[in-house]
Amino acid sequence: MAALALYLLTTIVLPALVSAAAAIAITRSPIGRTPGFARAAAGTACAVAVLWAFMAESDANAVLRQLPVSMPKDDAPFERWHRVGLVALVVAVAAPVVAVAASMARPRKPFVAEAAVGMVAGTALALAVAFPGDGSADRAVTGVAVAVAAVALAASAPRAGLGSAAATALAVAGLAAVGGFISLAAIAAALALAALVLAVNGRSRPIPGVALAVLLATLAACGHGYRDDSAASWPWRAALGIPVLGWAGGRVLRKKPA
Amino acid sequence: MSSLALAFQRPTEPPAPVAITLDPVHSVALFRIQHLEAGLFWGRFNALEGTVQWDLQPGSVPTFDVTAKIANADTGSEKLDQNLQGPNFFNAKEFPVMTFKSTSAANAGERRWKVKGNLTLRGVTREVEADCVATGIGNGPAGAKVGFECTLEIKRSDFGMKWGIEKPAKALGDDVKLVIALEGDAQPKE
Repeated sequence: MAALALYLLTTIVLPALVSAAAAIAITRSPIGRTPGFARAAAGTACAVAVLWAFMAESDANAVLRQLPVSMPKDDAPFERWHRVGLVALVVAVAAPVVAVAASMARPRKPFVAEAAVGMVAGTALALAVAFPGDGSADRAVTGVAVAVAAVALAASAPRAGLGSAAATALAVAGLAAVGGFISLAAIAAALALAALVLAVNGRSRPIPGVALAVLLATLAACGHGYRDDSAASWPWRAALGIPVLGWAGGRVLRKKPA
Repeated sequence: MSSLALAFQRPTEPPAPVAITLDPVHSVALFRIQHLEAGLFWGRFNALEGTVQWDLQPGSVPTFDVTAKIANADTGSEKLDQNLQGPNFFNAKEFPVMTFKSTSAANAGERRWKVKGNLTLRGVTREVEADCVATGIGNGPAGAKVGFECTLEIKRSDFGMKWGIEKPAKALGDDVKLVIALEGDAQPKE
């Protein structure tokens, strides 16, 4: 029992809470009022939670092995699910750049800009990341899902958007746990908890739609690729529809008379 | 009695090189691992394939080339089998087979050998040593049948299968015992 509690603490709770707490500290500090910084902090926090959980489940070498880094005495092979760690690392680095650039550019139509960045990120993800059994159609679905989810998350109210992201990650975690992919379940649970804490804090606005969409789409695509051949494909795809449902639900609720 | 079996009983005759093609129905690998520091849990890989080269002479040594399909892992629990196929354990989607190819063998008694070879699992190849014995030579409907049994112990962490050893701590053991039972049809080499 103690071993299980320690496992949950070090793989899910600590990565999520420490990352989210750092982001919250930034949003509550004077620097958090600088345009783009609150958004950057939230995006990086979610990516770091995923990266930290990933490294807790495997090791740092699983990420380094994908980079041009010499690692003597390491003859372990590359496994495709290790791309999750690399994607999280890239998002952690790119999220602040994108957030600050977006705040400086001040686009007239922010959702169009979000969609454009989402499409670029989705295309890059589809080209660079493939899980077992992924055909070009699967990768195209992942790429499109990034753009759609990015816009839906960014268009939602901050708490609702982060809540949708948390619900999506939780759905992925549940599917992974049912499918026996415990590491993916733990990583997705860490993301869900980090997003939930940021949602409760409510100061991450606008929310990092693209960063969250890339992380969620990567985790869902990973689970989809490694699912049992007899298991249905659609639940993994449907999970990425939660941000759209969250956005639509939020609009319906806002239109209701008080 | 087949000519192959006769050859075994007449060691003064020149050895007849024989390729023994494994019969998947009667070839299986059992694996044993400790669960939660308590029970020793057994599972199996059904339908092993491959060949053994041996001239059936008591003093000569065999060479083994055996393949197990990860999809044939069988624990008696559908849920557990599914878990074993995933990336936390065998990662069958990327590494669908486990192979053992012997590189040398030394006599260790009558029809017993210490066999060294390369075990490849999850894309990692490590040298291992197995205790092997020829369990018998019999006659089947299609000719001579030869049986072997090999036992070896490995650390699964050596092959990158680390889940459950430290995280979660001691959920599953690191030491794995393998008992490999082989039976094949002996065919004289042409």
